[in-house]
Amino acid sequence: MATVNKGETLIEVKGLKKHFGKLQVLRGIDEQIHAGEVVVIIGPSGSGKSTFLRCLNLLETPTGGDVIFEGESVMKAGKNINQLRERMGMVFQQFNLFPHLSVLENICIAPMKVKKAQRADIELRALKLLDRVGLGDKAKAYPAQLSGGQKQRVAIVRALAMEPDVMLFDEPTSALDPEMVGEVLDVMKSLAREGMTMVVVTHEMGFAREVGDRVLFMDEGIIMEQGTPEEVFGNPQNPRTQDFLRKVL
Amino acid sequence: MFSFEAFWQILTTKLPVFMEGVGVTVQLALYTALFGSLVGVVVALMRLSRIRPLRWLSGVYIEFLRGTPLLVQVLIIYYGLPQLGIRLPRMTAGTVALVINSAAYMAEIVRSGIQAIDAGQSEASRSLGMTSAQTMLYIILPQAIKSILPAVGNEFVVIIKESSILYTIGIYELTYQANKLASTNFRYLETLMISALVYFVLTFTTSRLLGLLERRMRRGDR
Repeated sequence: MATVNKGETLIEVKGLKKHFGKLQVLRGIDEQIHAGEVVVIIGPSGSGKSTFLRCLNLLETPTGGDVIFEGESVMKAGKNINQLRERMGMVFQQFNLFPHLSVLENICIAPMKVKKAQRADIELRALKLLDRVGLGDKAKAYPAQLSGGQKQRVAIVRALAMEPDVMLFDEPTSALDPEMVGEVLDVMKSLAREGMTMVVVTHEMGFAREVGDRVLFMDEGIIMEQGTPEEVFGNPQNPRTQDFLRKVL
Repeated sequence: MFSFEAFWQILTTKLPVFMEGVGVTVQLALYTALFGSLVGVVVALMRLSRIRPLRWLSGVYIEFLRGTPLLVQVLIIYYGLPQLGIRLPRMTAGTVALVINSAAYMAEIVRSGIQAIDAGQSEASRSLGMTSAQTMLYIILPQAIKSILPAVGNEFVVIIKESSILYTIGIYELTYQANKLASTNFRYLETLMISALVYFVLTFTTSRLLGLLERRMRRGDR
């Protein structure tokens, strides 16, 4: 469980590089994520935002550098990678709920199989979490019966049920109909208020401004600029940041 | 000329002979479906393994078993293996031949089913800390099996029909019984037609049962 106190470094990224064949997607990233912090990553598509996020829990294997999570190297984890991933929740653009399992089973399967939690205990906690995101009545439903916004809220609960120390969000609202974006962002905001450490790749500039403690602007595989939302949105220094913000705001 | 009278007479008086054959055919089919599926899943997992020799071995197995006649495989196992000191009883030899042959086809069906599952499923499962084995067992395989059910049903039907090849090594299955009967009553057409009809009842029932299972498993999706 969390051995890191608020404000201390939770994830340290050192010289992170990733290339797919000849294509260099990440060209050396150094960054620290602190406990309790909400870090929002913005940037044009193809800038490496999602790849960066996916390298943190080794869904992509970096080709250079390292990621230190709670003092352990992700790259050198080997079989222990599963224990590291337990403590890093992830939410995907396409939700990736398990279609053959009910909502409740989606949430309970990992705690039961990985942490050997008692079914009764974990189901109780799952129902409480579902209630919190306004889906208490959907426990028995199957993913196909839910709207996009509901699916994504279930996906967030599924990740939370493992009691992670950090939550990674990979464009969580990009696949949603516009009217459903709000309900998902609301859940994320309340998580942030509770002090959850979050790394969020998003195109929702409003969310970045309102909730982010720190905003990273990525382009061409590096972090071009970073700062508080006020700094990055109010007074961007890098011409690429200025150009990007002009287009999206 | 086809005599309906003879057909009816054989059907009513010699039914027990056919039923004896059906018993053996069903037994062969059940064993083959069960063990062929199990071996098929294992071979499919080898085919998708990260370990190169396993991939290579399973590839050779699949290509060879699918690329040679079942009849030859049966003859090799029953008449050929004793030369290596491996003497299998008739029924065992026949079942083994059907199982290893069917497993090659099942492996390809299972592999295609696994590969059709979206990569996001496995990513979500791994991101929750589940191991690759847990991911395969609880997330990927259940979905894959559901999607390959029609192809599996087809393979089961093929197994029932192909088991007739074992009449060449003297297993008393349906075709053997019908052929033997016909050689005593000389009513080949009528007798063999009855056996064809019985095969059809078996295969039709099988595909119907699997269709039912398919519909049941589809509850939940919409």
